[in-house]
Amino acid sequence: MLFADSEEQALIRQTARAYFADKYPAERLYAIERGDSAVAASDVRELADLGWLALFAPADAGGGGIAMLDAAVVIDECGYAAAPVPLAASNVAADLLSRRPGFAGDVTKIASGTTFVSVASGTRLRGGAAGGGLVADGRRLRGELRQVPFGNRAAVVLAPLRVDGDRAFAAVALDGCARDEARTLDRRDFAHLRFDGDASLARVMATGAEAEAMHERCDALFTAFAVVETAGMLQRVLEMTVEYISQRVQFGQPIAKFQAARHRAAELLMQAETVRWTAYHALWRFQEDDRDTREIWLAKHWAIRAVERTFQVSHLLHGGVGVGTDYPLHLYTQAMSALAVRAGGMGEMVDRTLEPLGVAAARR
Amino acid sequence: MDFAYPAELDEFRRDFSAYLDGIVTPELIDEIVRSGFETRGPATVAFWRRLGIDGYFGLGWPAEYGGGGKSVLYLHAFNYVMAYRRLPVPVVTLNTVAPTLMWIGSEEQKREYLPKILRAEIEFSIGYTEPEAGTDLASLQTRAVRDGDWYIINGQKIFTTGAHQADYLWLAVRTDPEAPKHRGISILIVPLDAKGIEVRPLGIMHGGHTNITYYDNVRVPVSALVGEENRGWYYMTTQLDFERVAISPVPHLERLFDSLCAALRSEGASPPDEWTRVTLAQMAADINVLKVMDLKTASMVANGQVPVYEASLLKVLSNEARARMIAEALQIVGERALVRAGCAGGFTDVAGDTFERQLRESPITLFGGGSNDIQRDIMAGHGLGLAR
Ligand SMILES: Cc1cc2nc3c(=O)[nH]c(=O)nc-3n(C[C@H](O)[C@H](O)[C@H](O)COP(=O)(O)OP(=O)(O)OC[C@H]3O[C@@H](n4cnc5c(N)ncnc54)[C@H](O)[C@@H]3O)c2cc1C
Repeated sequence: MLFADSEEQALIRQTARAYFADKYPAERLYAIERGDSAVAASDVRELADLGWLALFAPADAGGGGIAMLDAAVVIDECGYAAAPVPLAASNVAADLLSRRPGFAGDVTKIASGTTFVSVASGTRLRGGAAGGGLVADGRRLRGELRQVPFGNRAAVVLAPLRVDGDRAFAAVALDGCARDEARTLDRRDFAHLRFDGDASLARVMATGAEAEAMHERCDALFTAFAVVETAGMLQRVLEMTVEYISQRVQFGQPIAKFQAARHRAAELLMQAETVRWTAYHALWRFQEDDRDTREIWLAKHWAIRAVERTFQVSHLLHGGVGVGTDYPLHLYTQAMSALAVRAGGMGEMVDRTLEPLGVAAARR
Repeated sequence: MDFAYPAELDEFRRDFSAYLDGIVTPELIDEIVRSGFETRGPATVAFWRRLGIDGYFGLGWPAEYGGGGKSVLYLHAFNYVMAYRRLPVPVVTLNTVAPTLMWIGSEEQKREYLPKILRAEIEFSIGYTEPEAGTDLASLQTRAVRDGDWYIINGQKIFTTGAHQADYLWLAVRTDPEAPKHRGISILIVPLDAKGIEVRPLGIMHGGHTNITYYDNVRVPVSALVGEENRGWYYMTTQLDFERVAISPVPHLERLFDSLCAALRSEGASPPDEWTRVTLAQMAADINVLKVMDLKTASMVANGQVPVYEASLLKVLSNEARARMIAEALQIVGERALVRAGCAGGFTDVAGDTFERQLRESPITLFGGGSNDIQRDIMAGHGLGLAR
């Protein structure tokens, strides 16, 4: 056991930290937040060149072939930098495609940056990402998908759908679907997609129980990476706050000298540290046995609460400076609050935890 | 003990709501929503003038200043109804400046400003905070030096909210640098068009902006002094008590709660899961606590007492509850609640506001108007008598 980065992971972390810091400095993030800039196709191609869009899909299927835990380090650093790039979606898509015979070509295209493939995550949510969901009836494909990551520029989205009444999971081409930009709390590039086109747009990857398992894998991975990304954000918020209270002088001394403020900083440490290790531990269990998703839901549950606490405490300690649009804290508190809602909310995590234990809700 | 809420106040709330139904136009709502509940436009100003003329801004003012002479509970009810409907109020002008002027203003100041405030013809912006003086406000350094019949002001303020559209500054300045820090502060009324004032925007995360303001040899006549020289700190802290009671933290939370219930009851909504039900019940219990404690504080003032630790208790409980409930509301509504105003597929509350915007706004009360940790100190000191 080693609760620390391996040498390999330390190297990945170093590379990713330097890259994101260089490429997504605060000024650029503010511009994106204002809507004056966006993550461009060229930015995504750069991620492809780094090999980060299909990190852990097997090498023989065209992916990077590294371990899931190693891939998570890149996503962790993406959170640390608050870089609004759809790394998690792309990596989950590559993983899912790599597991279906006949779809390996798609993984190669993801890895090379030719085709951006996203996922419709959190489809179990009430009124969540899937909206009404997709239905293929005979020759028509209809329905909508809400808040698809990078949905404005993606070429394909992986999504559950119903084909003639049966469950399926498919790679859906986005040619001709209507795309509305969804400006959200976290100012990532999300789009609301509306379909009314030919059923051939959907290439079915699996049906029936297999489709369900694929959907489950999609949600589990997407949620696990969301928690890892959150861990990166919490870490940065912790460091930013510690730095701030060490410098900010009130009543003739740094705020960090007041016991109340020290205790609050310690609370931030507890949140960041616990989310980090529960996230990686959950992902490790999943990496060892992909039926073992339990800790993923528990980690997300905890992360949602940690985000809420960190939001309050970091803003309290920062005072007015922290809500300024020329100070980076808000980029983090907004993005992590959005991630807390995405990739499975509290209600879903409670159900996912209790259902397998046979603890059912009271019948009314 | 007597907990009966005066029947006349219930009646007032009903009548005032009906009155608002008659004067709140779709243009006004549109202007408020489009500005992100931040800046006021022509429809808002017209709305305020109407409220002023119809006597609502002066409800609690003594008759000698053209007011209605009603108890503080009317003010409380007025603000409650306005806040529930998310209608803007010129908060600092009405709750900070006006009561302080009535209390210690010169006759000339009262004649000059009060009637205009009552008719919503002028607005004030508060200039207390400085880059180096936030929580430790009494260490403020902006100087006002007496020069014959004038004060000459030099320095810098930050978070001077509304200074880009107000008419006057209610400015805290240091008039005696030799005295202990709480004893050398004065309040001046400074017209924003005075020479030497520069106002620069400072963006904030919930939209719009506050300001940084610079003062370079700004001259105001000595008649701009409010009350006595060097007594400013006492006025500022006393005024906070007026403000706290007039403004209740509860209506925002009730609106949030009612909006969630309405959404869950609406046709086509799937029945809420267990977590949502438990969370809603907790919200209801929290709101009940705040409602009762809010009434307690307001009734103390109505009975001539000054709530000290009581005000702190209410402030800490309410703004922490608020931040938590907004995060929970986002969880309950799900991804739709993340969509910003004006975009398809979003969710708005009963007043047309989004939860995501409310989340972005929620940090401010945690540290503004006296940081929560200072409030805890007040409870320990004033409330429990614990020595430092
Ligand atoms: C949107 C907005 C509008 C505003 N509008 C106005 C306005 O119109 N006019 C005006 O004058 N001001 C205004 N303010 C300023 C506001 O009143 C200040 O932000 C507030 O007083 C806190 O000061 P600060 O931001 O400098 O925080 P700091 O003083 O830096 O304090 C930050 C945190 O440090 C901690 N801390 C500080 N001292 C102690 C201590 N002794 N013990 C323990 N912990 C401590 C607390 O957690 C505190 O919250 C506004 C601010 C905002 C954000």
